Amino acid sequence: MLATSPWKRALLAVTSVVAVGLVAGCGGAAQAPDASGGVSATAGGTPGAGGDLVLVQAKGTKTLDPVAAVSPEDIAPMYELYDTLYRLSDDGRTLDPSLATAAPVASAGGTVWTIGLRTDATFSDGTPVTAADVAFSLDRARTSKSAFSFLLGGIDSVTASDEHTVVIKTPEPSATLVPALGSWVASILPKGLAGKTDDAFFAAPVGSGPFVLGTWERGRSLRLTKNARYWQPGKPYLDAIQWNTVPDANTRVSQVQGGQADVASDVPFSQVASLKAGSAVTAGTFPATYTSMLIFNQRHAPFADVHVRRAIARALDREAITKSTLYGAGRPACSLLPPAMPFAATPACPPFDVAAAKAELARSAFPQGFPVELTIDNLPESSTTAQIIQAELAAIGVTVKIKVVDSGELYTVYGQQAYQMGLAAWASDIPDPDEQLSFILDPEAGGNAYYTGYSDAKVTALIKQARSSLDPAARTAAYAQVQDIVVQDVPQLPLSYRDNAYVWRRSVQQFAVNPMGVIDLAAVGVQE
Amino acid sequence: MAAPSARRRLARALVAVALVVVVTFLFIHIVPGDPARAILGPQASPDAVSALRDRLGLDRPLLAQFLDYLSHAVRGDLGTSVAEGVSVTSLMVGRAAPTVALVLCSAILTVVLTVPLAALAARRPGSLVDHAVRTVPLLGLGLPAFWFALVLIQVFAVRLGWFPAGGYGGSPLQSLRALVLPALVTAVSILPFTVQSLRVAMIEAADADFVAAARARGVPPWRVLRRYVFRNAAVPAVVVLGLNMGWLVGNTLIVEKVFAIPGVGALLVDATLSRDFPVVQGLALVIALLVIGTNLATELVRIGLDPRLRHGKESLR
Repeated sequence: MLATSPWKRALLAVTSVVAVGLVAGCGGAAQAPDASGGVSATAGGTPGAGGDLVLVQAKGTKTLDPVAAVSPEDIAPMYELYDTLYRLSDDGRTLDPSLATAAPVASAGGTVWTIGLRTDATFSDGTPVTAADVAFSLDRARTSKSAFSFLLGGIDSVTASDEHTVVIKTPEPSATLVPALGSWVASILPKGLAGKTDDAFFAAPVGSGPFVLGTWERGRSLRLTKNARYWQPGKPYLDAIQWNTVPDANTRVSQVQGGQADVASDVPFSQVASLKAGSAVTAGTFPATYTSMLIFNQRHAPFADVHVRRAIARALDREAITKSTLYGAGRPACSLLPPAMPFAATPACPPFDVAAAKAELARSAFPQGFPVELTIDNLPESSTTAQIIQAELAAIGVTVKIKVVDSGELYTVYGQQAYQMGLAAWASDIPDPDEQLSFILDPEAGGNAYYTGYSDAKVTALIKQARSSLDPAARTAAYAQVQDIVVQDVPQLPLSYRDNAYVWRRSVQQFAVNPMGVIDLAAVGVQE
Repeated sequence: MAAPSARRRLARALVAVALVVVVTFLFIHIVPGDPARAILGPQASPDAVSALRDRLGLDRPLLAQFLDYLSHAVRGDLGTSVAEGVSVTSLMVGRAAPTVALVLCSAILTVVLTVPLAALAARRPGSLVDHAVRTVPLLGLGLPAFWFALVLIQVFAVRLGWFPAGGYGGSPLQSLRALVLPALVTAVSILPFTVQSLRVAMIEAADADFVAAARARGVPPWRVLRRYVFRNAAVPAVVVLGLNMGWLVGNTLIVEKVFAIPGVGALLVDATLSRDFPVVQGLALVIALLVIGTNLATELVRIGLDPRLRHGKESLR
């Protein structure tokens, strides 16, 4: 304890920092894509006006710039501060007009899109929302080279044809345009950021959403207050919403139990059942698009062999894995597309069968099995999953060595394809399968087929065809084919679909979380 | 004060600071995990990732990055947070108050708990009470801080409602109330050391001639304890507290997470996870300066108080 030499002192100071790194590593939330989903579990009837809602979450909001937002904590306030042309419907599967008056009118074979705007919407400073603001905002977002600018990547130009009409051109017919226009990246800001610099504007942002910025203490809390000029009559019901940062999951639950907070996110799955029946507090899970999966690096010899990948798919009991990690807050996976996603099909997934798995492996170049390294992050849930996988694959002669890396490092390792087999996850940001399927199956689309190196010309062609088709029946057929092929090819093996778990006070009315993980806070109220 | 001993200690402290600067820089840059990928997430395109790497200067040689960091740091500029886009200094200033308040409350609570316990034990060395006082606080060492914290929250916040279940109040009074449980957790973890040292110091002081003389003069026992024993024993105990500052600060970081105190510890944890290297470097530097500075100040005060140390004798250990 009593360090006198400079070495010891330096060591002491450094070890505190290292120790914190370790603690951070152990307790961190999965750096997996945001999103969740939703059947609505409502509490109470039509909300009355007034009241404050306090939500507690693991991390703080880091930016109010929609283009820079990446985490769920960044994204949630975007939907409250700003409006988009379209917004997710209550079931989270389709889009309804928001600042737009109706669905876009497509012409020139689906490459020119005309969108009429509401005439009654104003920004919180009183200036009307015009087509010029929309053109500015969409151009700013799609040219920003930020994490999610790719969502608007399929746009050629955005022009204001008159004060309340926007014309968007796409190089080819685009089925994903409307879902992308409903994402936070496409938030509408005043043209030219009202003459301010980025820093000055986002320190006191002006939007046309249901709430305006109250106070923001970085790392601690973000408070938004009711926008008196919001165009939807009667909404929002709440006077204010406040997100507080509470890193520890148990403390978040305690704060809701103790009445300090109304809603807590990222609740430990094991606690949901016991919290559900509380008198003042209840809990629930909401379907999301979060899908955990095994990824196979096809540069690693055994995984270039489809029989090996199929054998692993049959050797793993996905039901058991789901039960022991999610405690009922999810379902075993079959298709790559989660049920909460439009166009999700139910392909014929071969059931868990060790004998069939052994027979499949016998047809590969590694009939006796092989040793393999499984890379995972340092979250408890990943470790449980990895141990089950280790035990189950041992039965077919595949000896798994588990390699744990820090959650901040995982996707760097995957990105360099410096792994053999890995535990990964995907969650979508828009209610359209194209984002996920392009990224995880198309070798050209940036993710190198989710870091696997998988490449199948037919799959890639089907995905492109579905993206540029405006006929839902044709898209359904194309996506069904993709899902069938993927079950046969197993470039990744989906393990389970995970819900989002929340605990909330019973005084919260109309509480629901959609499959993208967004709570429509303008529709929520609190009983005084 | 300008004795060789003091100068030597100052030089050592400077070496320690330099080591910390180099090691933290290397630590965060060598640890695997691309900051650009960690910030943008798994979905970001390679284009977006390389654009951010470029903006952050991550592809420049490590030495160039280090010299750049150093030349800014000596001018008090710790850089800009990668994740939040604001200066590291402003982030730290915003988060310093809760941590400073927590460390102070923990230190005060430690003293308040240490003095009566040590006095109780020192009254009859070797007695059952003495053994109890010496062993029971040791449990604090084995008690994981986060677990103890959760138990306190369940009992005193959720069941009894006496204190908030973590968080930090808006007013000073609310904040003070929010700090009671976290300060208790930190104090309990350091108690074994402070009680032990004060007890030893008190037993030594109680054996001293001046105490025997006071007793012989008929000074009442409680007064002997207060005026003669405790006053002479207090200095070493405070020194122990000062030298354990690193431990105290380190523990504060864990306690902040469980109690959702928006201090520098929470900031450091978050920055480490998201590979926000300017924030990690800046915080490590400032925390190291504080810990080393406190240690140095404690030693210099001790040298000032104890003439024997002025001539470079390393004793009293």
